Amino acid sequence: MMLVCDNGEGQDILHGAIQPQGSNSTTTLYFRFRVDPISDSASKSIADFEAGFMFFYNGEEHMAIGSTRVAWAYCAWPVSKTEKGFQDLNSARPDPPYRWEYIRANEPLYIAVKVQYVPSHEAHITAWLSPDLAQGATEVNQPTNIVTQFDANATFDQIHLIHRGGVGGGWRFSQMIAGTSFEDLLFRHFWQEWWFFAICGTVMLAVVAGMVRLFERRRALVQIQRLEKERAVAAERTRIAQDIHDEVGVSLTKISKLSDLKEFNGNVSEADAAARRTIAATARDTIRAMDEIVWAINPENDTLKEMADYLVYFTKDLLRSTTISCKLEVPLSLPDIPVATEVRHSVLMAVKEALNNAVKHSASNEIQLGLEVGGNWISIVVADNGKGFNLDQASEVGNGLENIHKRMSGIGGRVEFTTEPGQGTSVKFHVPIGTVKSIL
Amino acid sequence: MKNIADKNRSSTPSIKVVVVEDQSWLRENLVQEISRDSHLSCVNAYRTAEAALRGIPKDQPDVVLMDINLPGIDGVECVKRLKNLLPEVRCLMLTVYEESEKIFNSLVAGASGYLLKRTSTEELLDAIRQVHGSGSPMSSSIARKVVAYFNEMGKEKSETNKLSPREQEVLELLANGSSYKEIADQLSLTLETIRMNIKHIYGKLHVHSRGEAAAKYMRESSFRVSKKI
Repeated sequence: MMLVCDNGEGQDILHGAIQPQGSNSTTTLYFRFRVDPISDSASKSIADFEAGFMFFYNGEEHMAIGSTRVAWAYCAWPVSKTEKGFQDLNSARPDPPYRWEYIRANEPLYIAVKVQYVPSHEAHITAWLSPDLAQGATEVNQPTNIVTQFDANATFDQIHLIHRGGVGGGWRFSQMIAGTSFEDLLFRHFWQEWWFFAICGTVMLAVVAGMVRLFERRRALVQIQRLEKERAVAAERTRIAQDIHDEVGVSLTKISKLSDLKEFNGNVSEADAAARRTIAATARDTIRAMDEIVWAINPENDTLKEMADYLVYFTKDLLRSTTISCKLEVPLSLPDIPVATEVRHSVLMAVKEALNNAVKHSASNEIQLGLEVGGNWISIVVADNGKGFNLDQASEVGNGLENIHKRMSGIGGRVEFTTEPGQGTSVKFHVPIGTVKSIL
Repeated sequence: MKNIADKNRSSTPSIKVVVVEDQSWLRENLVQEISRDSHLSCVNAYRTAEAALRGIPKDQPDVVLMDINLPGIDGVECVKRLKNLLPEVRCLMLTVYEESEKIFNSLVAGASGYLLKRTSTEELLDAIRQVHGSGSPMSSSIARKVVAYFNEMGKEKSETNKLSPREQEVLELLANGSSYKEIADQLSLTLETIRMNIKHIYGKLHVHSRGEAAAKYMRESSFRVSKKI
């Protein structure tokens, strides 16, 4: 587990990350740092400790890995068991006639240190000069000539990375690591670094976000296309309605008016006049039927309000030529709910069938049209106060009833008949409007 | 056409009628039918709203039959302008279909009723006599729209143009499907009184039409209509 990394400053680098290690410590710690000598060598002349990685305990220097007086090479200091107070770190490249490798500017290297604390005894120190720190490397497979082992007082409550100058320029320290295993000191592949994870995370987030956006856009596009299509269909319906209105409706009106003209009454036989009246009446009926079609296909009417208004108009118009009075139980204000064309048309046809049945067969003097809105349903009632009929023997109206059933099931609705001989007839339509799609 | 009008002018008719219709066969047909009635005379006929607006002030008719769909200025707008020129003239709209939105807009603009073009001759002549005389017919489906309209307008209009409780009552009964006769029976009033009430409702509808709120309502409605085309 990595405990601390170089903070780049020459003071205590631990900041409490590692427990102070006293004389009773039993832990093993690993350290690594990179040194970058500022000048070729520490001074040849006698001087104090120049630069290094130094353990402090109670403000006293104990052990350091670095360079010191006369030691023209990397060494450990102070080590009580050596004469000169320092321990040579087996320089990898001897530079005769001196025993130790010079410290060279522009030749940075890594130093790794293992400290095994032994209670009531000096710690066992292992130092590696320029070890193999590639992934997969271990502390035991390092070349022996770079390994130095010795015992030293390695207690610390602070660790400093210091350079004190002297004739040499000191060191630049970097990439300091403290850990609990040799593996902690190894160079990590870039994909093991936190920033790589951060970048990966960011990239993945961006990719996901991008995909979500793409998906949303695709969906919006599909939605737009669907709406465009619906709009096109609606426009086409409007055009057809308009065409029927302008062309066929006007022609039929013409037929009805011209055949109705009184002017010719004197010149034609009674039979011809009757035929003419029939033509006029037929033309009017045809216009009325077309009126329904035009109303049904015009998308302008795809609302509950328009449907209610039309049912009222239609009912009144149908009863106008009869002696049957009309009672409406249709709310004057209705919620603004879209009702699809097919639903409107089926409702109109079903209501028409029920009204026609009532007018033809019920012998009633009052017909009631009711409309109620509740939840996802509307219910429409056509009720008469006529003679009623036995549902099981309803041969006369059987066809009509079947038609009504068909109309309702086609739009997911249902119909209820309530009738008994002498009790009038009530036809109640339940029409779902929750699932109805709205047309723009 | 002119000779028909001339012919009728001599027979001291009681109701002067003008026809505004762009389709010539229907225009001529209407002129003929009106001219045949001893109580009516067709004083003029126009093909466009523009011509009608120029000519009608000189004709001084009692009743104008106005096609709702005219080229150029349409029937609704024509009625609105005409009522400014001749406040007393009664306008009956002509339409092929029950286009309730347009019909209602023309009522707000000042028309006193409407007729489907397929209406038989008798009914047509009846309607002209009725609109000139005792009052304007109002269907249940139109009454429903009128109720909704006054409810809407009531929020922003002064007291003077509001419906009286009796008028409100009559209107709602009408909207609920009752005939004039049934309303009269139910409220213990004469048929004549009911007709007067309806006439007043139309009147208030027209007064409203000059107001700002109505103008707004009309603009919105006509926007809905224009969307259609």
